[in-house]
Amino acid sequence: MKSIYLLFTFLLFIACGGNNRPPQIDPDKAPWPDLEAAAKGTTVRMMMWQGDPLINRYMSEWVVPELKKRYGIDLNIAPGQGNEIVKALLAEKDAGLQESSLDLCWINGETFFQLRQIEALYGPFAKRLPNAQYIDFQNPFVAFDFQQPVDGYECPWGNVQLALIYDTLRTPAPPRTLQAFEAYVRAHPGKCTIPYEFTGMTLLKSWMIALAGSPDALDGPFDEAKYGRYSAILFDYINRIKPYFWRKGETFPESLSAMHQMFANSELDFTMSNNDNEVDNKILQGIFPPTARSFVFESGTIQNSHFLGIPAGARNKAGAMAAINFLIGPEAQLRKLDPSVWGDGTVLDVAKLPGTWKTQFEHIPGRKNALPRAAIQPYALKEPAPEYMIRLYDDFRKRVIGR
Amino acid sequence: MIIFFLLFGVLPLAAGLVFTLLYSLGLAGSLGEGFTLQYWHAALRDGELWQSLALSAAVSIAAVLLSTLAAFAVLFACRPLLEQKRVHYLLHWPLAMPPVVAAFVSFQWLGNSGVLSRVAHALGWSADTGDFPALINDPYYLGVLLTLLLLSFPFFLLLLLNHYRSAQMGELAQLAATLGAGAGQIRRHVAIPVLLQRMRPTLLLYFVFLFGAFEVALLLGRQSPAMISVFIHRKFNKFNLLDLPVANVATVVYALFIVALIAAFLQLARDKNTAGT
Amino acid sequence: MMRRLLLALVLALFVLPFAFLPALSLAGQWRYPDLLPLEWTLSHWMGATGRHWATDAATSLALALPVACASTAAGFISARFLAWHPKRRLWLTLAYFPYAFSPVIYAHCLKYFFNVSQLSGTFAGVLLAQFILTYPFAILLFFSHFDRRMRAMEDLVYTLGGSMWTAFRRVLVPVSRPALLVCFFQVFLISWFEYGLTSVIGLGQVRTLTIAVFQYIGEANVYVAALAACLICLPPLALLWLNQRYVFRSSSWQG
Repeated sequence: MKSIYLLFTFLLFIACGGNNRPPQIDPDKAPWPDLEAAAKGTTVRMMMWQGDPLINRYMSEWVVPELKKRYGIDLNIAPGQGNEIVKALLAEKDAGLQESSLDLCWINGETFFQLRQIEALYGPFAKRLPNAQYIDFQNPFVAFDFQQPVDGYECPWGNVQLALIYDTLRTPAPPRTLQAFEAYVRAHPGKCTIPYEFTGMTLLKSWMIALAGSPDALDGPFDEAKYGRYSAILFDYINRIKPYFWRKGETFPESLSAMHQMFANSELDFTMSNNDNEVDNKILQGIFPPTARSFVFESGTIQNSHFLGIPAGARNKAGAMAAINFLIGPEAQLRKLDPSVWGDGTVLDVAKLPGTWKTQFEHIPGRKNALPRAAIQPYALKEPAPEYMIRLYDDFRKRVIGR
Repeated sequence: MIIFFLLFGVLPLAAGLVFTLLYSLGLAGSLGEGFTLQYWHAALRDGELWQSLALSAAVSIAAVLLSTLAAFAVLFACRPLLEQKRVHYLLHWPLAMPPVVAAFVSFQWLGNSGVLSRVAHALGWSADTGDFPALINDPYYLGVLLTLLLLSFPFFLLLLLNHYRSAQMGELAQLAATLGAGAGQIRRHVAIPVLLQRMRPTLLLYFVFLFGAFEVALLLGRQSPAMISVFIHRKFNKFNLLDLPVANVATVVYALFIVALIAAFLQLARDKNTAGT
Repeated sequence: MMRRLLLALVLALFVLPFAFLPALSLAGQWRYPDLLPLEWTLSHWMGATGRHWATDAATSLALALPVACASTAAGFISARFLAWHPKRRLWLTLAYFPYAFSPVIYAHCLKYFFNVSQLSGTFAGVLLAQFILTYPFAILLFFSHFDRRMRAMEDLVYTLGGSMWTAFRRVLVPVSRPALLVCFFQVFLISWFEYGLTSVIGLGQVRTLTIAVFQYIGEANVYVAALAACLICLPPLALLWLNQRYVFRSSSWQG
């Protein structure tokens, strides 16, 4: 009996005493050096998508130890993307909590939109970060997140463009227009599909723009009439070729990793990634055959930025800001740009950087198998407003899968 | 000690279910706007919930039936061999495999580009991945069923062996034989009824477990319909504001189902006990 | 002959996964339609990929050991009181519900309370949740253990002037040692194998080996996932080697 009570008090004790509370400091007003000093010795709890080993490695093997070494910050990373982050923060609001269990999250697009809707983001903070002076806010691909002005409620971290991946051995000439793709699918039944997740829906948005006929057809706020018109054409197109999809289009893979594995095993002829450099890092890991390459549609694919945000209830805002400042600094950005590390595009304006950094950014080791950034930049499309994504998710289920 | 039990054994589930029920009626949570039955209407009209329940029931019944059949078949065919020490030891191995790992192994074996498909290719039975039948994320939940079988069959076999011994089936069979029963008759009229009688509560309990199977269904099932645990988990994890109350409704429905099954189980177990004494 | 063949088939089915997993974790490039990998490599095991095996396994262990200790102890003592209580049937019924509930759905039911008490995403939270999950199971294991014979033994202690403490220390625990061991290892395995509840309550911040397997599957990295799967299977196999009884729980299934 006694041991049980002892155990119980012990449990209560570690439950209550487990958090090391950061010192009270006003993150809005405190001068930056004070903020960094306050962040020392604290823990920052981050939630991010962890579906890529290279990204995970960059974080766990470089960012985490460097943050510890330079700022005395313990970065604790948990897996969770978009809707899971929204869900976690909403649940905390539900519970009436003033404080969040997260201090930092990796977000963009519709997640940003939804988090702003439920007022779960802290800000504006981005401009307070010393390293923000180098960020290329003139670039519409960086300063806007799915057509929404960022307004300092999230800080740009990286920039990528969707690319498709194929195997030169199996598909010497990949189809680069929608017409060619349709012909290809019909000629190779069962070898193509669209993943029912973020990347697949991003591809559909670029198709919708292509079918609308002009790269800026979906610019501006969400327009129900436009969505109705163009999504009808899009679903027409997809349903027309659906019978020739993988498993006759009766089911769709739900994760990119499933797509990647099927592509690696020749079950599918194409896979895709929001990171235009993915093909290199997957070859490097031995997951894709060395003959894999990437391509983009002539009608364009979507380029977007991804961001770091701080929950409104974050306990350790000072620590989160110090961590973000480090992550957008030239050193962390340069390292992230290296294809063998992650290959994520930088959000910095290289021209603004001090001397030596500038030359280093201009001389990073080139990509091996992914197309060079300059070659796909002309095909970059802006993200449409987030509602398009939300509607596509829903309607793809109703009008394609459910039919 | 009773209080400790009520606090840690009963209260958590009871409190969780009450909160879930209140939430589903619009009486709790930040979305709640007073009493409403709209979520219940929406959820019960939504075919997906019923499909999920029916699917879970079908898959778990099939798994329990097939494992029982297989276990009986192997028991009758190989019983003396099963008693050998080394064999008996190997029979325990699958119990060391958690559902996550079993699902992962199935995925690697049964997938269109999996081990079996490669063997079929090597034997010239299939030219490409598409020729191999879809067993993973397939419409009939075959992959899930096979994996659950892999998990439950070894357990049932061991259980049967145990019962066979504890019921002194060997002696019973001998007795029946001296009374002139043939081997087939002994099986049909003695061994199977006696063993089944003893297995019944366990079978029902196992059905309840498989009904709530999560990892296997998550990795090998489809997005729609999904088995009930996966269905509820996804509804809880979605942002869509209407999904949350529906998730709560589904949880309450699931809980009612479990209550009914456990009541049936306890009735069965009691029958067995009274029959035994 | 046919019998031996059938048995061999069954045993092969049982044992093959355990050969397949290490093989996959040692494979370099193994793609359709190759029956065998193009190359064998130790790189996944050498930690060249920078995984935190040790910490993941340590987290799993740090959860499983205290949970097994606490649930076994609490379950044993509780069962002693519940089994001899006038309302024993009611207690038994109540103990069955949490046991039969799908852990992941259970976790979603509990989530709100863990959020309010700020235990979500903490190690202590997962520890508590796993205790709540396994404690009724332990009670059920011991319920039939406290039978007339045990009662008689305990009464004998009182007749001889002993206290309840003496009864537990000198009689009940020593004669129940095998049952206690079985329960300990059973609960250990439940905690060690647990995924759904751990991921919902732990928010992924508490990384156990099962969480790791799911992450590597999510990364499309089957080789590393296979490695993690090997690590998960190792302790139960070791237990099996020590004693089959710890892994097989037939006694708990007879209501």
